[in-house]
Amino acid sequence: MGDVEVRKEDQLLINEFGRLNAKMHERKADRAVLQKSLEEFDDATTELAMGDGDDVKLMLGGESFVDVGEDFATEYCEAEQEKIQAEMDHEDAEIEKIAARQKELKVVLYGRFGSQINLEE
Amino acid sequence: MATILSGNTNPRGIPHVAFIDSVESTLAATTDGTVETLIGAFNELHQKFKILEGHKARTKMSMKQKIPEITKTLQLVEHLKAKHEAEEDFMSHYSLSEMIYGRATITPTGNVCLWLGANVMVEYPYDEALDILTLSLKNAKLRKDICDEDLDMLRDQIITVEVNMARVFNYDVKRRRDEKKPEAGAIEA
Repeated sequence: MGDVEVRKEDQLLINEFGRLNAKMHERKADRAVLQKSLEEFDDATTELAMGDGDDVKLMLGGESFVDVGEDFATEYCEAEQEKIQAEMDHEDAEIEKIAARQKELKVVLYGRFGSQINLEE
Repeated sequence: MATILSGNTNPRGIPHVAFIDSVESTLAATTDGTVETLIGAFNELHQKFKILEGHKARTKMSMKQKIPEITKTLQLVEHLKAKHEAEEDFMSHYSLSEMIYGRATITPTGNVCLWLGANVMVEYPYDEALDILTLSLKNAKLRKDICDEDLDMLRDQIITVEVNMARVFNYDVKRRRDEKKPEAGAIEA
Protein backbone atom coordinates (compact mmCIF):
# COMPACT_ATOMS: atom_id res chain seq x y z
CA MET A 1 0.00 0.00 0.00
CA GLY A 2 1.37 3.36 -0.97
CA ASP A 3 1.53 5.58 2.08
CA VAL A 4 0.87 9.23 1.50
CA GLU A 5 2.02 11.52 4.28
CA VAL A 6 -0.64 13.79 5.74
CA ARG A 7 0.49 17.38 5.42
CA LYS A 8 -0.80 20.29 7.46
CA GLU A 9 -2.83 21.58 4.54
CA ASP A 10 -4.37 18.14 4.02
CA GLN A 11 -5.38 18.06 7.67
CA LEU A 12 -7.05 21.45 7.33
CA LEU A 13 -9.01 20.26 4.31
CA ILE A 14 -10.07 17.07 6.11
CA ASN A 15 -11.21 19.18 9.06
CA GLU A 16 -13.16 21.44 6.76
CA PHE A 17 -14.85 18.47 5.18
CA GLY A 18 -15.89 17.08 8.56
CA ARG A 19 -17.19 20.45 9.65
CA LEU A 20 -19.24 20.79 6.50
CA ASN A 21 -20.67 17.32 7.03
CA ALA A 22 -21.94 18.28 10.47
CA LYS A 23 -23.39 21.52 9.12
CA MET A 24 -25.10 19.68 6.30
CA HIS A 25 -26.84 17.33 8.73
CA GLU A 26 -27.99 20.18 10.90
CA ARG A 27 -29.25 22.28 8.01
CA LYS A 28 -31.17 19.35 6.59
CA ALA A 29 -32.82 18.76 9.97
CA ASP A 30 -33.68 22.46 10.28
CA ARG A 31 -35.07 22.44 6.79
CA ALA A 32 -37.34 19.49 7.59
CA VAL A 33 -38.77 21.38 10.56
CA LEU A 34 -39.42 24.44 8.40
CA GLN A 35 -40.98 22.29 5.72
CA LYS A 36 -43.38 20.84 8.25
CA SER A 37 -44.52 24.16 9.65
CA LEU A 38 -44.88 25.53 6.13
CA GLU A 39 -47.24 22.69 5.31
CA GLU A 40 -49.19 23.33 8.48
CA PHE A 41 -49.64 26.98 7.61
CA ASP A 42 -50.58 25.98 4.10
CA ASP A 43 -53.31 23.70 5.45
CA ALA A 44 -54.49 26.43 7.79
CA THR A 45 -54.78 28.93 4.93
CA THR A 46 -56.77 26.44 2.87
CA GLU A 47 -59.10 25.73 5.78
CA LEU A 48 -59.58 29.45 6.32
CA ALA A 49 -60.49 29.99 2.69
CA MET A 50 -62.98 27.12 2.83
CA GLY A 51 -64.57 27.90 6.19
CA ASP A 52 -67.51 30.31 6.54
CA GLY A 53 -65.36 32.90 8.26
CA ASP A 54 -67.13 33.11 11.60
CA ASP A 55 -65.51 32.49 14.89
CA VAL A 56 -61.92 31.86 13.86
CA LYS A 57 -59.59 30.75 16.61
CA LEU A 58 -55.93 31.29 16.04
CA MET A 59 -53.18 29.66 18.01
CA LEU A 60 -50.86 32.37 19.24
CA GLY A 61 -47.91 31.82 21.50
CA GLY A 62 -48.15 28.09 21.13
CA GLU A 63 -50.46 27.57 24.10
CA SER A 64 -53.51 29.79 23.87
CA PHE A 65 -56.13 30.21 21.20
CA VAL A 66 -57.26 33.72 20.51
CA ASP A 67 -60.48 34.61 18.76
CA VAL A 68 -59.71 36.70 15.71
CA GLY A 69 -61.44 37.73 12.52
CA GLU A 70 -60.93 35.74 9.35
CA ASP A 71 -59.00 38.57 7.72
CA PHE A 72 -56.55 38.77 10.58
CA ALA A 73 -56.03 35.01 10.54
CA THR A 74 -55.53 34.84 6.78
CA GLU A 75 -53.13 37.73 6.86
CA TYR A 76 -51.25 36.21 9.76
CA CYS A 77 -50.91 32.82 8.09
CA GLU A 78 -49.78 34.33 4.82
CA ALA A 79 -47.19 36.49 6.54
CA GLU A 80 -45.87 33.45 8.43
CA GLN A 81 -45.79 31.38 5.27
CA GLU A 82 -43.74 34.03 3.51
CA LYS A 83 -41.34 34.24 6.41
CA ILE A 84 -40.87 30.48 6.57
CA GLN A 85 -40.49 30.24 2.81
CA ALA A 86 -37.75 32.86 2.92
CA GLU A 87 -35.96 30.93 5.66
CA MET A 88 -36.27 27.74 3.69
CA ASP A 89 -34.86 29.35 0.56
CA HIS A 90 -31.96 30.48 2.69
CA GLU A 91 -31.40 26.95 4.02
CA ASP A 92 -31.55 25.54 0.50
CA ALA A 93 -28.98 28.02 -0.72
CA GLU A 94 -26.67 27.14 2.18
CA ILE A 95 -27.10 23.41 1.63
CA GLU A 96 -26.22 23.86 -2.01
CA LYS A 97 -23.13 25.88 -1.11
CA ILE A 98 -21.98 23.19 1.34
CA ALA A 99 -22.55 20.41 -1.19
CA ALA A 100 -20.55 22.29 -3.83
CA ARG A 101 -17.63 22.85 -1.47
CA GLN A 102 -17.70 19.21 -0.33
CA LYS A 103 -17.52 18.13 -3.95
CA GLU A 104 -14.43 20.27 -4.45
CA LEU A 105 -12.82 18.89 -1.31
CA LYS A 106 -13.57 15.32 -2.36
CA VAL A 107 -11.78 15.86 -5.66
CA VAL A 108 -8.69 17.20 -3.90
CA LEU A 109 -8.58 14.70 -1.04
CA TYR A 110 -9.44 11.58 -3.04
CA GLY A 111 -6.88 12.77 -5.59
CA ARG A 112 -4.23 12.85 -2.92
CA PHE A 113 -5.15 9.89 -0.71
CA GLY A 114 -7.18 7.64 -2.98
CA SER A 115 -8.62 4.66 -1.14
CA GLN A 116 -6.77 5.57 2.07
CA ILE A 117 -9.46 8.05 2.93
CA ASN A 118 -13.19 7.71 3.23
CA LEU A 119 -15.21 10.86 2.84
CA GLU A 120 -18.75 9.63 2.96
CA GLU A 121 -21.53 10.42 5.42
CA MET B 1 1.74 15.76 27.81
CA ALA B 2 1.88 19.30 26.54
CA THR B 3 3.38 18.52 23.17
CA ILE B 4 0.16 17.10 21.77
CA LEU B 5 -1.51 20.48 22.25
CA SER B 6 -0.43 23.46 20.22
CA GLY B 7 -0.68 25.81 23.21
CA ASN B 8 -3.32 28.01 21.59
CA THR B 9 -6.88 28.15 22.83
CA ASN B 10 -10.08 29.60 21.44
CA PRO B 11 -11.87 32.48 23.27
CA ARG B 12 -13.64 29.96 25.57
CA GLY B 13 -10.35 28.36 26.56
CA ILE B 14 -10.72 25.20 24.48
CA PRO B 15 -7.21 24.06 23.53
CA HIS B 16 -6.08 23.44 19.97
CA VAL B 17 -4.50 20.10 19.28
CA ALA B 18 -1.09 20.18 17.62
CA PHE B 19 -0.69 18.91 14.10
CA ILE B 20 1.99 16.24 13.87
CA ASP B 21 4.53 17.23 11.24
CA SER B 22 6.59 14.12 11.65
CA VAL B 23 5.41 11.13 13.63
CA GLU B 24 8.98 10.10 14.25
CA SER B 25 10.13 13.30 15.91
CA THR B 26 6.90 13.65 17.92
CA LEU B 27 7.42 10.14 19.24
CA ALA B 28 11.01 10.91 20.15
CA ALA B 29 9.99 14.11 21.92
CA THR B 30 7.14 12.64 23.93
CA THR B 31 7.98 9.08 24.83
CA ASP B 32 10.70 6.47 24.87
CA GLY B 33 9.91 5.72 21.26
CA THR B 34 7.00 3.37 21.79
CA VAL B 35 3.60 4.44 20.53
CA GLU B 36 1.42 3.25 23.40
CA THR B 37 1.88 6.28 25.64
CA LEU B 38 1.29 8.67 22.75
CA ILE B 39 -1.82 6.82 21.55
CA GLY B 40 -3.05 6.72 25.14
CA ALA B 41 -2.60 10.46 25.52
CA PHE B 42 -4.46 11.09 22.27
CA ASN B 43 -7.23 8.76 23.38
CA GLU B 44 -7.67 10.66 26.60
CA LEU B 45 -7.70 13.96 24.73
CA HIS B 46 -10.22 12.55 22.26
CA GLN B 47 -12.54 11.58 25.11
CA LYS B 48 -12.24 15.00 26.70
CA PHE B 49 -13.10 16.71 23.42
CA LYS B 50 -16.06 14.36 22.98
CA ILE B 51 -17.42 15.17 26.44
CA LEU B 52 -17.07 18.87 25.77
CA GLU B 53 -18.75 18.45 22.40
CA GLY B 54 -21.71 16.70 24.03
CA HIS B 55 -22.00 19.49 26.55
CA LYS B 56 -21.91 22.22 23.91
CA ALA B 57 -24.40 20.34 21.75
CA ARG B 58 -26.84 20.19 24.66
CA THR B 59 -26.49 23.91 25.36
CA LYS B 60 -27.13 24.55 21.71
CA MET B 61 -30.23 22.37 21.68
CA SER B 62 -31.67 24.20 24.66
CA MET B 63 -31.01 27.54 22.93
CA LYS B 64 -32.66 26.22 19.81
CA GLN B 65 -35.74 25.41 21.87
CA LYS B 66 -35.66 28.67 23.72
CA ILE B 67 -35.53 30.88 20.64
CA PRO B 68 -38.95 29.87 19.23
CA GLU B 69 -40.45 30.05 22.73
CA ILE B 70 -39.31 33.62 23.15
CA THR B 71 -40.47 34.48 19.63
CA LYS B 72 -43.94 33.13 20.40
CA THR B 73 -44.13 35.04 23.67
CA LEU B 74 -43.12 38.20 21.83
CA GLN B 75 -45.92 37.58 19.37
CA LEU B 76 -48.49 37.25 22.14
CA VAL B 77 -47.37 40.39 23.94
CA GLU B 78 -47.51 42.30 20.68
CA HIS B 79 -51.05 41.06 20.15
CA LEU B 80 -52.00 42.20 23.65
CA LYS B 81 -50.44 45.58 23.02
CA ALA B 82 -52.25 46.05 19.72
CA LYS B 83 -55.57 45.13 21.35
CA HIS B 84 -54.87 47.48 24.24
CA GLU B 85 -54.13 50.36 21.91
CA ALA B 86 -57.32 49.63 20.00
CA GLU B 87 -59.13 49.41 23.37
CA GLU B 88 -60.67 46.09 22.44
CA ASP B 89 -61.40 42.97 24.43
CA PHE B 90 -60.81 39.61 22.88
CA MET B 91 -61.86 36.05 23.54
CA SER B 92 -59.26 33.47 24.30
CA HIS B 93 -59.13 29.75 24.85
CA TYR B 94 -56.17 29.41 27.09
CA SER B 95 -54.45 26.22 28.06
CA LEU B 96 -55.58 25.08 31.49
CA SER B 97 -53.65 21.88 31.37
CA GLU B 98 -52.89 19.51 28.57
CA MET B 99 -56.03 18.91 26.48
CA ILE B 100 -58.15 21.23 28.61
CA TYR B 101 -58.76 24.81 27.58
CA GLY B 102 -60.47 27.51 29.56
CA ARG B 103 -62.43 30.25 27.84
CA ALA B 104 -62.02 33.84 28.87
CA THR B 105 -62.61 37.39 27.74
CA ILE B 106 -59.36 39.26 27.98
CA THR B 107 -59.32 42.98 28.64
CA PRO B 108 -55.76 44.16 28.08
CA THR B 109 -54.75 46.22 31.06
CA GLY B 110 -51.46 47.54 29.84
CA ASN B 111 -49.50 45.09 31.95
CA VAL B 112 -48.41 41.55 31.34
CA CYS B 113 -46.80 39.00 33.63
CA LEU B 114 -43.67 37.28 32.41
CA TRP B 115 -42.53 33.99 33.84
CA LEU B 116 -38.87 34.55 34.55
CA GLY B 117 -38.12 31.06 35.78
CA ALA B 118 -37.04 29.96 39.26
CA ASN B 119 -40.71 30.26 40.33
CA VAL B 120 -40.74 33.99 39.75
CA MET B 121 -43.28 35.89 37.72
CA VAL B 122 -43.00 39.63 37.26
CA GLU B 123 -45.56 42.09 35.96
CA TYR B 124 -44.37 44.51 33.30
CA PRO B 125 -45.94 47.20 31.14
CA TYR B 126 -46.13 45.96 27.53
CA ASP B 127 -43.22 48.00 26.23
CA GLU B 128 -40.91 46.90 29.00
CA ALA B 129 -41.95 43.28 28.49
CA LEU B 130 -41.17 43.61 24.79
CA ASP B 131 -37.76 45.08 25.59
CA ILE B 132 -36.95 42.24 27.96
CA LEU B 133 -38.09 39.58 25.52
CA THR B 134 -36.19 41.17 22.65
CA LEU B 135 -33.07 41.26 24.78
CA SER B 136 -33.33 37.64 25.87
CA LEU B 137 -33.98 36.65 22.25
CA LYS B 138 -30.80 38.44 21.27
CA ASN B 139 -28.85 36.76 24.08
CA ALA B 140 -30.17 33.32 23.22
CA LYS B 141 -29.14 33.81 19.58
CA LEU B 142 -25.73 35.03 20.65
CA ARG B 143 -25.21 32.01 22.90
CA LYS B 144 -26.29 29.71 20.12
CA ASP B 145 -23.77 31.34 17.75
CA ILE B 146 -21.01 30.89 20.33
CA CYS B 147 -21.95 27.24 20.70
CA ASP B 148 -21.84 26.87 16.93
CA GLU B 149 -18.37 28.36 16.86
CA ASP B 150 -17.15 26.08 19.65
CA LEU B 151 -18.71 23.03 18.05
CA ASP B 152 -17.00 23.78 14.72
CA MET B 153 -13.71 24.20 16.49
CA LEU B 154 -14.20 21.06 18.58
CA ARG B 155 -14.99 19.04 15.49
CA ASP B 156 -11.71 20.22 13.94
CA GLN B 157 -9.84 19.13 17.05
CA ILE B 158 -11.55 15.76 17.19
CA ILE B 159 -10.81 15.00 13.56
CA THR B 160 -7.22 16.12 13.97
CA VAL B 161 -6.78 13.85 16.99
CA GLU B 162 -8.31 10.96 15.08
CA VAL B 163 -6.01 11.50 12.13
CA ASN B 164 -3.05 11.87 14.49
CA MET B 165 -3.87 8.58 16.18
CA ALA B 166 -4.25 6.81 12.85
CA ARG B 167 -0.93 8.16 11.67
CA VAL B 168 0.94 7.17 14.82
CA PHE B 169 -0.62 3.74 14.62
CA ASN B 170 0.24 3.31 10.95
CA TYR B 171 3.75 4.48 11.63
CA ASP B 172 4.13 1.79 14.27
CA VAL B 173 2.75 -0.94 12.02
CA LYS B 174 5.10 0.07 9.28
CA ARG B 175 8.07 0.22 11.62
CA ARG B 176 7.36 -3.25 12.98
CA ARG B 177 7.04 -4.64 9.49
CA ASP B 178 10.34 -3.10 8.48
CA GLU B 179 12.02 -4.49 11.59
CA LYS B 180 10.82 -7.98 10.76
CA LYS B 181 12.59 -8.08 7.43
CA PRO B 182 15.59 -5.83 7.72
CA GLU B 183 17.38 -7.62 4.85
CA ALA B 184 14.72 -6.70 2.34
CA GLY B 185 14.83 -3.13 3.59
CA ALA B 186 18.59 -3.03 3.30
CA ILE B 187 18.57 -4.26 -0.27
CA GLU B 188 15.97 -1.74 -1.27
CA ALA B 189 17.93 1.03 0.37
